Amino acid sequence: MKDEITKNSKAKKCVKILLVVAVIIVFNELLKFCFEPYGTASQIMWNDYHKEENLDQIFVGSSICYVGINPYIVDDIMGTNSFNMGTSAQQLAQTKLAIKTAINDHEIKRVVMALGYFSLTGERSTKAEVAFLRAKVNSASFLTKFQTYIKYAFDDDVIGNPESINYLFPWVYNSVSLQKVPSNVTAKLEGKVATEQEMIDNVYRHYVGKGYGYLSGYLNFDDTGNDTTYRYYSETFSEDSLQELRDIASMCKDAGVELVVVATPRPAFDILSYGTNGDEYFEKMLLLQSLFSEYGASYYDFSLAKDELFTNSDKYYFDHEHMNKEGSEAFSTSIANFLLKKDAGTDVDSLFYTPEEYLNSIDYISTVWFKTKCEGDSICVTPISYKGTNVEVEYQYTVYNETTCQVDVIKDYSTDTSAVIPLNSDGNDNGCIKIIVNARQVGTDVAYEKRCIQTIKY
Amino acid sequence: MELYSLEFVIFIGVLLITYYGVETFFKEDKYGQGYQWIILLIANICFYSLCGITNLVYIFTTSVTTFAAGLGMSRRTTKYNLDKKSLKNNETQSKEARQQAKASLKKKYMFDKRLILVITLLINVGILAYLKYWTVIYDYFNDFAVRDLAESIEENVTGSGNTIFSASSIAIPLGISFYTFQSISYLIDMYNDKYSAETNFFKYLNFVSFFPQLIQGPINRYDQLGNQLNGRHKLEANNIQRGLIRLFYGFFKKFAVADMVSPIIMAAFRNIDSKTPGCIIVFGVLLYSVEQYCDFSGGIDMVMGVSKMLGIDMMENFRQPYFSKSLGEFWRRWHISLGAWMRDYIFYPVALTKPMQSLSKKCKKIKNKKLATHLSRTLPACLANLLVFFIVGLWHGAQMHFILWGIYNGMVIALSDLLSPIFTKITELLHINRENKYYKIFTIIRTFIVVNIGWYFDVLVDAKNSLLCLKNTFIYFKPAKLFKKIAECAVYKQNTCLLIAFIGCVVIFIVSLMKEKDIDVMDRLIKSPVIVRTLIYTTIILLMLVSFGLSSATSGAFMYANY
Repeated sequence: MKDEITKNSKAKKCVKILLVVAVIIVFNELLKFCFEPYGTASQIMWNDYHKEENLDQIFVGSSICYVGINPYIVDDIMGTNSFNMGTSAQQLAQTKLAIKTAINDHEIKRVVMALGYFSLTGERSTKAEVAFLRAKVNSASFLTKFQTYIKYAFDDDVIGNPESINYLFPWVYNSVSLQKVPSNVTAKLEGKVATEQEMIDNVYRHYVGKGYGYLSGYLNFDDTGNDTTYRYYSETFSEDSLQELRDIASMCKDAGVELVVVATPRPAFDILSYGTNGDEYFEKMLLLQSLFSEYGASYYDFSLAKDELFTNSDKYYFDHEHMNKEGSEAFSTSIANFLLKKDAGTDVDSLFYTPEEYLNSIDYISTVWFKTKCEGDSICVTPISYKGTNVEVEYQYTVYNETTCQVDVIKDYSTDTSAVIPLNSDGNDNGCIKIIVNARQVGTDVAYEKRCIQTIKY
Repeated sequence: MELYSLEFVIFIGVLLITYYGVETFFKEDKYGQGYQWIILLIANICFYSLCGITNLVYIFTTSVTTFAAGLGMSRRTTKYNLDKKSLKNNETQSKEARQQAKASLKKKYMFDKRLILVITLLINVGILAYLKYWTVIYDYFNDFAVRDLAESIEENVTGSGNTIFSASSIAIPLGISFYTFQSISYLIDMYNDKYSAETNFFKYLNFVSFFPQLIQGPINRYDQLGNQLNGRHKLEANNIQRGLIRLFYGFFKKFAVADMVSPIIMAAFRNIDSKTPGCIIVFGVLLYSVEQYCDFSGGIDMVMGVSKMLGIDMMENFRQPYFSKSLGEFWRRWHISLGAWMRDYIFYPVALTKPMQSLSKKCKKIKNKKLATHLSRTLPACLANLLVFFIVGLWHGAQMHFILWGIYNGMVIALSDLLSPIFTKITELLHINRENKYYKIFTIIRTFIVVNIGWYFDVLVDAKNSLLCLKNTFIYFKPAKLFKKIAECAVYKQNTCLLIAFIGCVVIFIVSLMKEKDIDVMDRLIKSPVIVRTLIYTTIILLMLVSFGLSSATSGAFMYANY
């Protein structure tokens, strides 16, 4: 009798535990359905990838690849069938996975990897990583999904961290805002085309097809001087990242696939501002060239491309690292021609400047930025220009007067690299001042070639 | 390895299965003890190795030295007792000669024990001091322009010149302060013959390396934990349930509260200058109070939960500290194991030293009898308290702001003891009933403010900034700038983070209030209807998970993990 009571109580306890677990699972599924975004770049890429047959070459990398290389343009010129497997914040581990998948599925002949220095600084993005993996196995069997999770969770960098558990709760890292939940749910219920939803969620990003989408908009050079790769990312390439590159190069070599690694073009200031002395960018470039050459792969930096290959322009950029539609079209044309020349055995190395030649080739001011320091009732302004070796710059210091709605010149054009501006020179004492520093080359008489506008709070 | 990770889930899962499996299948050894302690020891070493295999060197050194010293002292005591007995039985000597021989015997054995104690303390405190404080000492060397000396020694010692003296080359092993203090407590207890020494090194190693306490304490005592570790534990659903609830409550405190406010605190104290209004400083300090408590006590809840699942109860480290009515009481409720350690191994030994006793006697000679009695009782305790809090400050770090923080706490406690007759007089004059509910609330708020003033020296690494912030709090408060300044912190999804932290604080406050009224919250929760429980568990887990998506803090890293 006693045993029976104990048995019953144990059974009740088990039922209760199962009930709690079931509620948590159902609740999690519900949250996944509501919050996990429908139509992410990764999802669209994998959906379209699975539709492809007989691919010749793929483009891989992070967002610089996704928005930078248009496979339609490349294929028109080269007569190939290409696909862009780039996704936002794609990690090198995912790049490797994408290449491996394409090699296995399509026996591709070439991989073009768009590589940014930021991908090598070792900062893993859980959000992008989980989104990428979940999108890849979205329509796969439960077993494949489980295997993917296990492989991810048992990664050395992941297993000891919360990410190893939170993969099961993808809405934690990758979710739409509360306002977007209704449209997200509707899209899922209606089985809307993922690309349509992506357009709704990302107003600047426009998916075209074959994994490629462009960014609409132009980089505003008036306030961009502080948005640089060097400022946002660590200067040190992590050994893990370099090892990933070696693994990728080795995998391509073993599979007999040509690996072409490219640095997509950037505005000159992003290169000139890299490192404490401004020359570290080239040191890193040589390091990568040497690393890839060990595996018979090649690395080309299109920022250093000569005009005959690619003519850089300010209007090609959405921000300091991404190209816009015009930029990506120009670059896609350029890379297609470049690959054809390479296939034809042309000496393509001669199409790129050496670091010294590159610095001499910049005969303009790429952008201007200024630093400020409050000193009592005034503010000291120190501008920095990003320019070529032979360019001499002069500055004009002005303040936007809120009372008269006009720009007042505080110090006219001279080669002085600092100016002291009284805090009340904008006609009020409201705790902020709008300063504009104009820059032009010495000997010219334009109002300004580049300028920097900042509102400083004090 | 973080506690909220697959690695830990596997680790604890395997451990629980083998731990209770061994008890079920192998029962007991020839001494009537089970084999669970062996499983636990293996788990401890595995856990520590997974956190960095080089750390094992330090924990082994501490274990070997303190175990050998404890055994050595214990053997000296046994030998002393035997010699004393044989001396007593020796009737050939006169009574006086016997007493003299007894005294010299005691002196000899005490000298031996003291020598063992001092050498072992020097080794272990030396390791701790080297690992914890060398960076700061090295910086002082540089400041005093004797860098060349340091570097020349370095070159002579290392040959290549970049290991021993390079501050940057030192990585602090996980939980070194905690296990060192724990081992020292065993050592001193052995010196005082408090209990008999452990004769099995591996059982002692099990005590020193018990993995839950390595993360951030508590500092356990051998007489409380040792027996539990060596004992047998049957699988009990209640232990597992209570352990899991406490583990998740800890996760909730850490992730949904502490990690939510951490980046906002950092942003609030960024660029401190004379124009930083007091309102944002007070806001930052209040958030720091929340972060400190939830991070530390949350971490302790997690390890207590893990320990409970193994059927082992460690020493409680928190008892609703923010309900304290004085700073002294606060320190008896906050980081209890450290406070108790300091009381037993620093405060009492210092307060009972000969100089302190003679100071007490001198105080008694004061003409005013009341004052004499008061001072003779409190002055040695005040001085001992000052020393204790100086050491507590130093334990947190050798930087000046920690030392100032320690001295501030010591001073407040010392002064409140010394001036207590004046305070009593004032309350009598004002006809304040100290038992009154409102007076109690007033003292709780007063203590909260006093504690928070102390945090000014803890949260800011530069003591000058701490003083500047204190100054601005009183003379440049500017409450109108608060919302603007909060907005300027510009942390990712800041308002949502603050909202989640606020909900978390409300939950923690209710739980604390219930505990303060001696209500067994856990019991209430377990006995509540399954629907209520499911709702509570789901909400707690949900808030915790949401916090991961918002947190830019280095989640999992505890504030007290590097102590």
